[in-house]
Amino acid sequence: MPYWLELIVIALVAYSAGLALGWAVWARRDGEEEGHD
Amino acid sequence: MADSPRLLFMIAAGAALVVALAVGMAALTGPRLASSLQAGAARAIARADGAPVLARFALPGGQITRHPTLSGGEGLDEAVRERIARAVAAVPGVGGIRWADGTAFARGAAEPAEPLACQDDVAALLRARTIRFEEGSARIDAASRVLIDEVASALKPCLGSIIAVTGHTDASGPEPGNLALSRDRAEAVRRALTQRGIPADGLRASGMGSRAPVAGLEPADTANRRIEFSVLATRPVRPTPVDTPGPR
Repeated sequence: MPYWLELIVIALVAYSAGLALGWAVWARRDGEEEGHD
Repeated sequence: MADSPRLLFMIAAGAALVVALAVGMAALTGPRLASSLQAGAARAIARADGAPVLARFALPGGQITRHPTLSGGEGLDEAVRERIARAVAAVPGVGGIRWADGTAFARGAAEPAEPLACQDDVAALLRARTIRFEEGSARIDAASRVLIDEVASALKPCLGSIIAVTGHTDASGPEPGNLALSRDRAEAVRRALTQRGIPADGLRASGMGSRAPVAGLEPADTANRRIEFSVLATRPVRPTPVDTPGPR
């Protein structure tokens, strides 16, 4: 596996994990705000 | 949901940016990484007394990789090859190891080859039929694929052994070409067997050209074109640290 492909895979995995985490935090915060209304 | 296309666009743009960053980083850090791994591997090989062996951190296309290809170990026995592979794999940053030949006949592996039932089975299969190739090419003839399936099933009981796949040609044509063709054909059979579930680590492909004709046949006889299988060692193959799947 070429080095550049390894870096791309690692970077995309990290990016997806970041997105998923951001999504989860955002959805939870959104839910909490709706609960207060 | 009105924001959906915009959100998707932003996610895709982010992904593209991440890919571009990764490619840039690879171009920036790759050459230095390769030379430092190269130096580390050379020191590890020297410490393991593997002097003729070279570690190359580039793919055939010239792209840098962390997974070195070791070459120059054709004459070494299996224990030494394993020691060298382990030493190189222990260098920080080095990925899975593979040997360039995949091939080299492991000369003098300590235990003498003890024929197993599977070897007889394979020999019996190949006595009546031959693995055929397209004329002058290493492409396995479509009709021989069934035979390869049968050989793969017959070899399954030998899993854990080292099995040599040796290609032979007849003496027509120049010998360097014959040698390369026999090696390519053995390699094609090895690949076909790997695709049928035989672990690549247990298979060694090599070519003899026309040096070893069938006993009793003229060297130019086309019946000398053949693939032979033999069990080299019956001890289980301890895997070297290979983290990339695929043929070695």
